[in-house]
Amino acid sequence: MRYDAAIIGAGAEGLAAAALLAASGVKTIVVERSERAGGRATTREFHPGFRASPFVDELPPIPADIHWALDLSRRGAIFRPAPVSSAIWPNRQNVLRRGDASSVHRFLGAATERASDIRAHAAREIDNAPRHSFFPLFKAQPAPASWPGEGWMASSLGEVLAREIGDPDTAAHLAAAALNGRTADPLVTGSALHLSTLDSSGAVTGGLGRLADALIAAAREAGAELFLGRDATDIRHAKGRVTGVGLADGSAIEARAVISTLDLKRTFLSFFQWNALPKEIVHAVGNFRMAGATARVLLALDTALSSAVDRRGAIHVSPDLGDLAEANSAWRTGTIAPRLPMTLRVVSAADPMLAPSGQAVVTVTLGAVPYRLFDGAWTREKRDVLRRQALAALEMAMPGAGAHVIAADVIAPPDIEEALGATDGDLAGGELAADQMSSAWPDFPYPRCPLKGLYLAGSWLAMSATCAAGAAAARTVTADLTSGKLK
Amino acid sequence: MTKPLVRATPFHARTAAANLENAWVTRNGITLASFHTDTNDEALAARLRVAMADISWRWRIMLEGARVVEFLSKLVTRDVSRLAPGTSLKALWLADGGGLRGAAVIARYGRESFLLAASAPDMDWIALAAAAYDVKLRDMREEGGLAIVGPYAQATVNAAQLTADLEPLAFRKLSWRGIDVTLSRFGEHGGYEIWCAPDDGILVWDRIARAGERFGLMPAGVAAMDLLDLEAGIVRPERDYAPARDGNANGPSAVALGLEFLIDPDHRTFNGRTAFLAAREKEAKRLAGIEIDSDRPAPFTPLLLKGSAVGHTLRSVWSPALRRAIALAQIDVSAIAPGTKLTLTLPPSLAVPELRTSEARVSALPFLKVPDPIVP
Amino acid sequence: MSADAIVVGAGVNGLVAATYLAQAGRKVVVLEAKDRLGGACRTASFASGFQGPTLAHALYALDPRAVAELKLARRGLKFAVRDMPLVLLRADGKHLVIGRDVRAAARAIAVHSRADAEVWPRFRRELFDLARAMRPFWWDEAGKKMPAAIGMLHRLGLAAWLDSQFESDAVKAALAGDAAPLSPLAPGSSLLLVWRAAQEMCGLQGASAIPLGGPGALIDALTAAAKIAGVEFRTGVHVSDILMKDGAAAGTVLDSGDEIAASLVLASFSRRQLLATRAGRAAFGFSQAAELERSVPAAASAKVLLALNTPPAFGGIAVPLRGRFVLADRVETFVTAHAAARAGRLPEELPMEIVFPTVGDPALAPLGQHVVSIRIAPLPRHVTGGWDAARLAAKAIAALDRCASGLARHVTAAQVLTPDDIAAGAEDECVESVERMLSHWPSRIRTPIDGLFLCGAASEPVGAVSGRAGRIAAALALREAAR
Repeated sequence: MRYDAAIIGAGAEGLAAAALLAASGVKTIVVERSERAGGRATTREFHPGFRASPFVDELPPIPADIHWALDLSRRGAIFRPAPVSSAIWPNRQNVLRRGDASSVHRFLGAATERASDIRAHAAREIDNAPRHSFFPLFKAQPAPASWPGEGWMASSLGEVLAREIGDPDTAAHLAAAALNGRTADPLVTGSALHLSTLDSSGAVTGGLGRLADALIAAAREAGAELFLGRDATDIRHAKGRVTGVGLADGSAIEARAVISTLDLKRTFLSFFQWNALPKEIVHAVGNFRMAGATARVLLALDTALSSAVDRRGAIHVSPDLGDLAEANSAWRTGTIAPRLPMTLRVVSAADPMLAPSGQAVVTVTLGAVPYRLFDGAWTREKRDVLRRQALAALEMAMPGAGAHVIAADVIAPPDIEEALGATDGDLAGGELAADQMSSAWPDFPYPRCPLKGLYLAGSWLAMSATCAAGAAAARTVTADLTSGKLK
Repeated sequence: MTKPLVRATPFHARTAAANLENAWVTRNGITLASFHTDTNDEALAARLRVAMADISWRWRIMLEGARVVEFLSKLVTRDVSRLAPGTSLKALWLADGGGLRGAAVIARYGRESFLLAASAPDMDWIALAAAAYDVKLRDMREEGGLAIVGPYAQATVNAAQLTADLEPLAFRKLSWRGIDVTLSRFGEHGGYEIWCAPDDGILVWDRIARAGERFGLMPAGVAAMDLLDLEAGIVRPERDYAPARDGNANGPSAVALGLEFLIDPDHRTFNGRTAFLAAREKEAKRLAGIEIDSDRPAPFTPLLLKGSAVGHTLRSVWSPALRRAIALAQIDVSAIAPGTKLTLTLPPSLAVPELRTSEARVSALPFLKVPDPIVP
Repeated sequence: MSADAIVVGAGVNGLVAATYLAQAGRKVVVLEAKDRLGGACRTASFASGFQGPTLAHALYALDPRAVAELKLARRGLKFAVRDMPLVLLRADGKHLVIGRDVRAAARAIAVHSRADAEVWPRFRRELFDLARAMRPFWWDEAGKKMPAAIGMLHRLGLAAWLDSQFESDAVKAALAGDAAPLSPLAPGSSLLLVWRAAQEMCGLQGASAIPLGGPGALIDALTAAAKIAGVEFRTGVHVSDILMKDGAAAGTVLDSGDEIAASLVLASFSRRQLLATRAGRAAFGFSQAAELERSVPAAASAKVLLALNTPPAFGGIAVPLRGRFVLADRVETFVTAHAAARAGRLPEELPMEIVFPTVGDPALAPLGQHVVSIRIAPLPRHVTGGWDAARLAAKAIAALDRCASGLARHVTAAQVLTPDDIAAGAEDECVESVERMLSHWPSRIRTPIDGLFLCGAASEPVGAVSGRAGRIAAALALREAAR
């Protein structure tokens, strides 16, 4: 079968790209390994009667224009930003309510604006080639324009928060919120870039699976085809340009353009023969740094909880800048720190449909969890370490709750890799670092790459905005098809 | 969940009793009557007879320390070193980039003590700056303050036996028939202010009310005082403009808000001076008044001269004295001559849900002069 | 008393600035708080019969123009060692020597990785080309443009850059040692390598050198040049404030209360030190002042001098003793050390740079005996419980002993300067940052006070013994005065 565009991966990016492409009249097909589309936007029953989104509870904000273009609200995906975020220590709490305390409010507003400026700058870079030379080292080019992320690149998270916030508890609270399951040393210059992820779309009523349903509806109604339960094994190419996608059953899809929604490493390492790729791709992929550091523990409790903290939002457990730094140090050496950064969410409090009446689901997001442990594989013992830390966190935030846990599901980085195809279990698709925020290839701004006809739309490219990478790829493919670049 | 608080002033019992429509508003976190009977009546009372307004919401701090003069020399845009105790001046303070952060009355209480009285707080900035000079800050907002405004204000004060020969901008502590009060003339409407301890609030209110009764004294709410301010061309932070809150901000411009007269360019040491002087040449907008050929106010609306935009209105009200809608506005220097005819679009409202354009005329400020005191 | 210009601080930059001003015909007085001149450049006796470099021990950033124009060679500046090769010491004896000869270096690298050996010539050439292209920006006051590749390196951490070019820990660790001031994870830390490569000592690009007589000899030559130009010196004099008149600098006020009038004041302060004066506090904006007060150097350093009664002997691969030695196994050593410094902990592995000044300058010690100069950086400024000099020295000696077995037994004396000792001398006040490296000279030299200029190490792009800030500040000051 011949298509204009074939998309690998039916997560939020792939579905958004499909919906937008098909709506512009592009003959589009999406290939997805799993029987169900949605990627991380999924809700699963992890224990009879108890449901949760296994990988993330909330997604980075969907840009307004994409939200409208895909008509998500009317398709059943209603987002509810959390009204409150809490941090709890053994002897005290810190609570941030939306619209509260003016200096924090101002800071969050300014941070959201800067993040949006960075995204807009990246979007402009799509149209004007960026001007950095990576390999070789020195090439005469016009000087780079100033980048909105420079201020954060030059500061550490600790510095910025100390300067703008003052109160150490609020600062630690926001540092934990900014890292959000990733790991970084908050005292090293450049860590302030994590502030670009402070905003979120919020929780979806009925669970993230509803978002997937809305996106699937949008894609199908626009005329895109969804090919589920089909494993893509390779991207076909000849004479320096992409010709289609090969599937596990031996069949192939011909397409003028192929969009990969997987991360940079997975795209090139699993779909190509290494020696058939141009040198610049090999070099870039080899140097690209992943930073998979997230694990999840899903807890089913047989009681609805009362707690010392407001259960309507995230609960960050004992955030401390020193602990975050130590956890990062441990992560770098492949060990599990004794005090991992952890965030709890009583997801059933905001969404009663996730648990049976009178019972509860609590998710625990652990950061600084190494994908590769220095002393071997992820055994049951290692998973128990995570489970124990999660339960201790639960007990601290909600004394007595530990006795009511009837099931605990541990999802370690390798499990995330297995389920989502995310290299190193890195949900962000790559280390959040200044040098990885623009294209590895000076002449090919993302979503393009040196291989003609191949477009990259992994979530890592969206700069913390869900569906943005897919939308950018859709825009670029449409433009290239129209201008005749993809004959 | 914390219980919602009503943060009341020392006069709350009296203003509540007078507040027949239960119309309340919050300013600086304090609950005040928006109006008691009718805003226009109250504003006219303040213009023609005498009115009493609760001004306890104003932000006041005492600044004390051996280096307080050195500190204030850097903080505010005018020299306070020669201020005699018992007198005050008005000045601004700017961000490092020249942007306007606040305006206040600086009153000298003693050799090493000053009061700073402003409409909007800026505690973080001032506390941060004062720390380097070992200046202590004391929050004075517990005190109650009443403004007595109108042609019969002097007569009322006399009748209350608050004798003091006070020049404008002066203040004095008095013992007034057993209670300690401070009487001042900081305000812009030619009247007086009385400051008292919280427990004495009701007593002070009653005495003034009694003294002013025969002159037709009315309690005036916040809305009436805001109206008076507009007629006088007075701008205040957070009501008429958003003050700079970023330490390096270069806006808003004091020049464009008509507040340049509160900056002494020869005072060499004030914060943001270099940036302010550099920017002031380039500032093209000035503050002016707009009289609108309509009864409907037109706040924050573009102003057009022959079809092209030359500025925009700020706050706008219907003036009972002038019997038409007026507005403060920021207008390009080229179009600012009094009498210049401009057009604007009146915003639709519940009562009139359609767009209408209207003529408007530039007016010099103040719209109305402060009336002379009448002392019978 | 009065003068045309006052220079506060008689370190290298102060002496250079003073001499340039005097050569332009100005009456210059240099005020130095200590009893001796030289600041961080000092050769002193630390044990009977032994002399060593108290702080700076190998110079790499001396301003060639100042050296030439002030005729320092004629004033007695000679070099004991020129062009010190970089030597990475490893516990397993597989030391790596990277010298100027590219082919020899490649052969040495090949022991660790053939691929890296092939990359080395290209990398070295491109680094040196880029560094030379940055010279107009870093060497001249008027320099404004930079090559485009800087934009990429501005975002790139050194660890990531080295990982993208090389595979062997040895090469990466050797190069990372040169970028000690910033964490290898910090974006832009790559530029430190470019900075070093942009320097020139004894006519050689990217070289390090040791003066004959130690860094003190540099001061002697500068002092001689200054005196010949007519500069007046006053030591034991501490400046407490800048004298102001009509909003401009009009001289200095001393601790004693005396005032010295001058229309030009060049101070070897950092902006933060200027804030400590009354005039500085009044001149900086509140927001600026708050930011300066918040900016504290992230890392400090320590210095150890050892007296050795035999020549040092390293097992494993032969190494040239006239080299500049770096002790580290991996880049991660520096990452961990920076993290520990920020957390206020002593790192397990001390990051050390070691030099043997007696190899080129035997007069520093009795015959057959040697001096070992060790700089330990980064370190925390404070550690819980306070600095234990003896423990620090023992740790450093033990680390060195692992590579030069038996060295510990031959140590007959030791002098330790902990971060507390170094701070007491008010040296090392600089906050290193990429912003500073890429800012323009005038922005680092000018102050909000007319007539006051900052000419010290804090005005350099990177804190180092240089003299360039002094030269450029003097030129800028003279130009502004002429207006």
